[in-house]
Amino acid sequence: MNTTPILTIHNVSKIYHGARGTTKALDNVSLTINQGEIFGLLGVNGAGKTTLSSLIATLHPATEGDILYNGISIYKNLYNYRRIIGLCPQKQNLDTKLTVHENLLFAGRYFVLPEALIQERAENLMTEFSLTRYRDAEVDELSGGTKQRLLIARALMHDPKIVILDEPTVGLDPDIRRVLWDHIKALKSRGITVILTTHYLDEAEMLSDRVCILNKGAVVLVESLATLQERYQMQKLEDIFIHINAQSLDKE
Amino acid sequence: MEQSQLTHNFFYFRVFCALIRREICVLKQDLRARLIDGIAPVLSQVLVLGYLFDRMGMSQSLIGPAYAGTVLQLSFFVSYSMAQNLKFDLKHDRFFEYQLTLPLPKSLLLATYATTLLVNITCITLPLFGLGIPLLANKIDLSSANWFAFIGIFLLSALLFSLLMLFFVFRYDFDWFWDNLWARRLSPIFNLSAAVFLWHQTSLFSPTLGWLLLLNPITYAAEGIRAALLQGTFLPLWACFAGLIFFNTLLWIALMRSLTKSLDPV
Repeated sequence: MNTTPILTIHNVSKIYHGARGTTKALDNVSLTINQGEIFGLLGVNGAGKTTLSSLIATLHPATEGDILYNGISIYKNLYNYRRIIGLCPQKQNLDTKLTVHENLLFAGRYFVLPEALIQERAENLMTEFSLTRYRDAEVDELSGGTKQRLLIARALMHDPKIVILDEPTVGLDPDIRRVLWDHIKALKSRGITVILTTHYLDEAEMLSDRVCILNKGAVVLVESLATLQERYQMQKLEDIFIHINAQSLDKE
Repeated sequence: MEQSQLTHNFFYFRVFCALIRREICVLKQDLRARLIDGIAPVLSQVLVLGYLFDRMGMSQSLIGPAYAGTVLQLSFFVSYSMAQNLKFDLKHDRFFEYQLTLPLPKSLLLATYATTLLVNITCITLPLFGLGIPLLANKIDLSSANWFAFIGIFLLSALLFSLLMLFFVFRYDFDWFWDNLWARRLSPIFNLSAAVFLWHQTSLFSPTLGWLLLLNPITYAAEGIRAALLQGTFLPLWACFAGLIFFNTLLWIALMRSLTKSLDPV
């Protein structure tokens, strides 16, 4: 497995100031994500998974710390960095005013790709993600699973090196989840680094090369599944996760 | 400027153009319906100003200035309607959030939205305003109209409404925006401007009120349109241009701050 770090999260904290006071969503998080791996971010609700992925996607700034892409702070050349990431957020943010095909075309135009390449990529992605029959459909007419496939296809239009999938299969039927898993595996086979935020442990177990467990904004561990199985003498990630969470509760 | 900075700026410009192209694509779909929506208010204003108020004894010299206020009223409605769409998007569709991850500075993204609103206001308001003029032909004297000045003032006014509405979108939360904004902010701002009455006449009977009206940016928009199109005593054109540029600059700064506070973007 490739162990060259593509992203380094260095002492990152995130504090939100709201009407109900201050919330520390991430507390001094440090970890590395390797090139070409599927990196699973796990944790219970409120653990900080979405906050961390939104910081990596540059949706929000870190309060403290830095994120390095190939050893250089992403904030030094933010807009170049955005050209190599693709984000599929938990709450689908497709362009509801446009059709499926137009969503893909404009996703290419926003990244200033040549028009011929945009057309070609849009056709290829529609074929790959079984969207061709919905080509002229409006987004609101699509089912949840189709919207999710479109969301991933849109994130791939500019050929990113890193794709962030935040709870990509939440609320979907089991068969549709399996289809999306195949798409996620296909991303890895293309050499794309995938950051997968999920609270479905079977999904993380099936897809991730390494997992990071977050609890209350802090990193509990970052390991490969094989190492975890050996260390805790348990086969299923779900059992390991429950065991680790119980340990965390005991410490508190 | 360094070559790389120029390259970056050109890249941002192309992203900006792609976003505007998307907006024009959406506008093309909606324009017909929006024009139809706008016909009723304009025709009713023509009827009220040109025929009903006239019969009730309103001086004919006031019809032109009052109809100029109609342009602003329509622009105000169009910009509010578009701001509602954006507010809905921020809460539900979240397409704006996707746009925040594009390779474009957030100031340029906001500029895209301001431009979009401006284009929408112009495409909807100007044809409808033009529609009313022949219907009031014998009641409005446009012989001394300065159309270049009118276009300048109109665009600055449209930009004013765009920035004002965008500011409110990011300044207030979803429920307050939908439930209270019109009653507590927009209605007083519009009604207490010179859009619905004349600044000069007001300042004659109350100089204090006249000065207070100058604190309302819509006064410069309304008086500017009158000064550009009609004969009469209005605020001078240069003061209207200066007032609109000043308030647009202030609103831009306030808008950037409210965006940062509400969405915490990079």
